[in-house]
Amino acid sequence: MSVTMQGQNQYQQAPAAVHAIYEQPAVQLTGLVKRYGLNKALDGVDLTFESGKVVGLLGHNGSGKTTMLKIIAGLRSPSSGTVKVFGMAPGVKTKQRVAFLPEVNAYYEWMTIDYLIDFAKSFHPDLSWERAEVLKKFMDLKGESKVGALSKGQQARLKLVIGLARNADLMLLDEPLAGIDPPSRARILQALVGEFRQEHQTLIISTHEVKEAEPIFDHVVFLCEGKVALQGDAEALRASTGHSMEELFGEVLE
Amino acid sequence: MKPFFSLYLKELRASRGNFLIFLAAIAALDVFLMTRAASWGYWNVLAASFVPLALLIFLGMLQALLLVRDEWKAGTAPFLRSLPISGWGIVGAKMLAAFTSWVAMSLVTLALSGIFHACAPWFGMEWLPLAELPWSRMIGFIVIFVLGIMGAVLFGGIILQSAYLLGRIVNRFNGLLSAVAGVALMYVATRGGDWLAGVLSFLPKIPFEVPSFGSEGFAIVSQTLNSGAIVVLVLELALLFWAAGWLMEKRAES
Repeated sequence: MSVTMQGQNQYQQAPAAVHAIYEQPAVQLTGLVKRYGLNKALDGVDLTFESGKVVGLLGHNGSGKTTMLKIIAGLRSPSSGTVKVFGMAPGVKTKQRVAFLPEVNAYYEWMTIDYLIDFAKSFHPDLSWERAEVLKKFMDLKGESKVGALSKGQQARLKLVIGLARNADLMLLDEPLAGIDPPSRARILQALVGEFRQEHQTLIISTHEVKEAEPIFDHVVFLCEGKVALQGDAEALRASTGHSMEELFGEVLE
Repeated sequence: MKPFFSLYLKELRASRGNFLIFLAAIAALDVFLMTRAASWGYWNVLAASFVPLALLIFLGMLQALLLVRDEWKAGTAPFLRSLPISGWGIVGAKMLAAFTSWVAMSLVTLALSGIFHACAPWFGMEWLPLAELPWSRMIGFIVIFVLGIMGAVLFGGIILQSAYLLGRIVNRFNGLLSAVAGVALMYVATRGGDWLAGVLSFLPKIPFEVPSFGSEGFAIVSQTLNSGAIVVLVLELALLFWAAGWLMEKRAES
């Protein structure tokens, strides 16, 4: 499927802007701690995510993946430590450049898909209707369907439509494959990093589906009880340990 | 301004259901009152048709709260808060939508009561001699009365929103914290407002005339209003709005 990417053309015409984006880390976390009462969801996390990479955030339930993504998205504030998204503290300015796709359906059930896209476009001028139309077709969704009437799998696809229709510099995907039937997962993953991804985009994907998602990661971070258990370039880790990411997931986190 | 109005329109659409339910309830009440006119007396049912106006003041405040609370209840808060609009923009759009809804409901209630009044001859009653009232002398009272009620709706609505958002800064016992915060904010705002209005009592008094209906008929009574009370109300509204926006922007967890 061939897609005309409005945003990509824009960047092709402005190489200086692309250069500036690549020069700066997409996300920098320093000594990040998040407490919920007496529990620490994140415990002194130091991470830097380079721009233009696909990062896998791997860990069991309760390891702090969602909390980390929400802090980067500006939905939660850290208990201590600093967060920089393209050099800025999370806020309105960073939200213009970040697409956050939460695990659960977070869209208004009374809206139709087209109304939702229009609503999202009024906040994100980088959202292209043309791309949204192609994505709707690809995800097999109808514009007049109400969000509340969609199945769990369709809602998961809708999230991807809203996220991928944008030309966001950073995409945060929390369990994007949850609810999607196994035969469609490979196709959707391919769409995520292939035809629908723009070159400058940084993707941070939290998932349990390590085996299926492994081929798309440039960089992986294993989180265990709020701490970074292991991180590195996916290819280098495979070469140095002789294990696949799925095997490493078992070894590091079990 | 486009994101703000887009959110405002979304809130109006979201509150459409409540508005229609209220409209149906008012219409049903008025039809019921019509059937009671013979046994209760025309003037009693006409007066009863205005009762919903008093309830509406609380409904307006409640609507402001519900528009915020429903984001968390329906799980849409992560999407809303990931949009590039400040916390003040979100709170402002919701407050404005609740206020618009309240104004519309009040006008509908007044219009239905007006229809009652228009029907007076059907019940063997004479129309009130409204044209004979000294309207030019009552303008001050009407303006102060209407602005006072508007201020009360905004004041109550923003206190309820602030109290709810205060509860959202913790992950447990947030309902309890919201309830305590609501009572505390109401107490501090009213007591503090009284004290500050006293301090500002040196400000000029605003004279106005109040209509009075007694056994001897219609009369006009002279009154004054401490303009310090208006200053206090505006100050408190500004302070509470700032606090609610800050909580939405920086502290609420979603």
